[in-house]
Amino acid sequence: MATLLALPVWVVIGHIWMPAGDVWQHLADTVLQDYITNSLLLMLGVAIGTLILGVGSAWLTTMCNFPGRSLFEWGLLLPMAMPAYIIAYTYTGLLDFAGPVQSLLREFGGWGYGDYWFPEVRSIEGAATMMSLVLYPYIYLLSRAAFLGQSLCVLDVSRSLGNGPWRTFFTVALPLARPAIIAGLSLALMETLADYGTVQYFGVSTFTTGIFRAWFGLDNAAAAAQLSAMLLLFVFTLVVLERYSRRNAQYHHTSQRHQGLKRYELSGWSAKLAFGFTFGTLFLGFILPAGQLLYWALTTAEESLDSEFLLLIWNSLELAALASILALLLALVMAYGKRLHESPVINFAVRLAGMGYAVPGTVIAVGVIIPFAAFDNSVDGWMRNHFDYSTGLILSGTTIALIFAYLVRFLAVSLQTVEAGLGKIRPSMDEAARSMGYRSGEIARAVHIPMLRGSILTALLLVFVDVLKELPATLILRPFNFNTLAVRAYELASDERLADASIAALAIVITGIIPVILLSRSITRSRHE
Amino acid sequence: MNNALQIHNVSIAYGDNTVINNVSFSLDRGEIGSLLGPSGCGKSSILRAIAGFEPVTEGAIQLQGRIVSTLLDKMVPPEERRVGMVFQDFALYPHLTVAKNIAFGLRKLSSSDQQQRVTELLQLIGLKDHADAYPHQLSGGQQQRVALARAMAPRPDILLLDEPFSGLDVELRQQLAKEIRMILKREDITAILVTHDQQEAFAMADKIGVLHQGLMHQWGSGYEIYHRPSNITVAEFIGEGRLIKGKVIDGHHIETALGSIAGNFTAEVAVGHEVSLLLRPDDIIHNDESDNQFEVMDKIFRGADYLYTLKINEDTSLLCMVQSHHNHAIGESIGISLQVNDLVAFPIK
Repeated sequence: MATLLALPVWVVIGHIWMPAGDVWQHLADTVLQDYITNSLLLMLGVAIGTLILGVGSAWLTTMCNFPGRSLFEWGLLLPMAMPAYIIAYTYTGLLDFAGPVQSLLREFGGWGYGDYWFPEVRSIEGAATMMSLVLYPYIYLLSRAAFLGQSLCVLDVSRSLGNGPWRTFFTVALPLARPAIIAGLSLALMETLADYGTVQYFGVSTFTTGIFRAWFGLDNAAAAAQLSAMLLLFVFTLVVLERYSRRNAQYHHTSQRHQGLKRYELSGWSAKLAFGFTFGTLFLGFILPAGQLLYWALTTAEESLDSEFLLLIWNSLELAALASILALLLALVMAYGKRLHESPVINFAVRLAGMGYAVPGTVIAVGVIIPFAAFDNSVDGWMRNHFDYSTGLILSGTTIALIFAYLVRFLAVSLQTVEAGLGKIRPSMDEAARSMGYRSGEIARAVHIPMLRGSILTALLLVFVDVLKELPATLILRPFNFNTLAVRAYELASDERLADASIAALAIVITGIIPVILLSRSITRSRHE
Repeated sequence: MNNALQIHNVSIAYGDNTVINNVSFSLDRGEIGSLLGPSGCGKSSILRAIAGFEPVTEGAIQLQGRIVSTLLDKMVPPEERRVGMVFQDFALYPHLTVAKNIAFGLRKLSSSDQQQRVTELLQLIGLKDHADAYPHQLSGGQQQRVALARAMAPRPDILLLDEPFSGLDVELRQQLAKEIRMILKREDITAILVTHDQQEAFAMADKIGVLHQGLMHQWGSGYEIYHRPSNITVAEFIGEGRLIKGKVIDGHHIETALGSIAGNFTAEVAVGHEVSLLLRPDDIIHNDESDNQFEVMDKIFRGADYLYTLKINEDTSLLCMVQSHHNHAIGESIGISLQVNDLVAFPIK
């Protein structure tokens, strides 16, 4: 099963050596250079942006006390609910020539078109800013945990040796948190590479848009697969980086206690600055775009909320529910398999199955459709030869292909959650039950199911929300004329109907808040234990 | 003989690695045994074999006269052994209250019988007011007692305790060991405690087995293993003391650097043999009038007394326990006399 789930990745890698003919040559001559430069520039921009926002806000909320701190502690996670492509649409609507900001400027300044300079949102800098605003929580989360973990042992020492807050931050806290920060950064950069909606909308040519163009525009599967393989190379570099830094991070978290934590009390200007920084981050990353979406949604609600929209919701919910349940079942089977028969083979298989999360949706889509189409064609050909009956497309272009792609991409999410839950059921708990006369089945019912209930629910929810937000794979693999909320928001925004896209976008953002709440709850809980 | 537990020539192996080699012992009903040994000596493996979580590679285990493990692969599964086990990590179920944890093994009883047994046990462990608390709301010692009550609830034929105090504070251990011994004795429960802490074993157990590298070196009461160790390994592992060289003069005397020492031999040694004689701190009495004056090499303050290390000659020293108001500086000489009842001597090969 795990091998099957890794199939798309192997297909893509396998295509590296396949000749794509002139198209590849053409790509290499013309746009490949752009793809690479743009992707690198974008990554650089996002790295700078997320580092400043993520590390800064993490340090302020863990180590300093200022008005609203505890609120920001979880509030800063909210931008996670905002997919990058949605925030991009919103800011475009806000900041483009006809948008409220520029209109207001013109009114006050009495300027006309071309009289003044205003930054162009739909640019590579704009894309990097958009992504930074919603991806910084990865760094925020991990570096926050690192700051909390190290506080007791080393920060106090630094302070007792006479180092001020800034010096302590740069000489002790930052170097110690570096593994966590790098892990968070690589996650944020993986998302950057996986993004399709934003870069496509802003007209920045990167690998993902290139894959789409090769696929839909040039109709060349091999070229798309080869671009995908190149993209994978970037991704795997990041995966390795992340794994490597986490390996170090384990050593740093020897003491998890942080009762001794004494925050710097900020007052006056410094408190205002701290408040301004964190509030600004939250405002730009969530409050403003969400407010704008809400405003648009309210103004367009009457005409948009029709039966078509209901169908959209139904499609999305159906897909997300189906994918999350399947992912959960698979995760349970794998996690139990690993628990009962610990062996290198099973461990490797589980690892393999969990790899998909790092792979961009575009790449998975290409990796799914190539073998599925081959399968369909050969079945069709065989049936026509032998029975003179055309089966047409059995797998590709159906929801089966789509759900399979979701499983490949999101199984890791439910697997991780289930494994964490199962890890809390120690072997001695099984043995205790057995010594009290319980058989395996009865142990599952009396001990495992009640103890796993929370993790099962979390796994379902997380995958559900992820599927709902997923754009590129859905776009490639969906059955003809089959729309989801994400696809619809994308289509409407591409047609410059930003306000009309808002209801679908808002629905995605609202469901996206669910995992944020779960996350912040588990953080508060871990702090109280 | 009404043996509650009989371990007969049992060996246990993981793959090619034999961790328990030909071990035998037995417990009567209501007796508390202890398996004592350094970590890695295989003592927990015996416990897990009794519980049915590990197969034996040789020998047999009998519970209440019924063979539950033999090498013939006829293992009675754990759920049919009527064995109660208290785990090192307590293994309490976090989703169940204290009362429900204790009732976990009682599902075959009617609910009123369950209720009654749970109340009885809560009373016994002194946690009546915590019936509806969840495990994480309890202190370590309280969790420990809940784990004990849960294992005892179904009235098992034998109770197995796997390093039950290792996760607790040192002060708590002694007190809990005493309390638990009282509870077990009151309920007339046969039990085995696995531990690496001899004080725990002394406090809890009627019989102690000293295990070292998979071998059972001695099986006896705490007094016996302390005062009559069967070999050098046991002598060195249990209690404090020093071995000094000597020569057997006759059936009651050994000639040493301290002169001739009289007493009864615990084991047979031939006259004229070179032996190592075990001298414990309590065999040696501080006596200023004694002719035997020795230099203090080291001292440890223990509150009520000092433990002095005295230099006999270049390669021999002694440990001597002295009331702590006799405060002597290192380098000073103090007088001692010997009061040895049992001569614990091992031939030097």
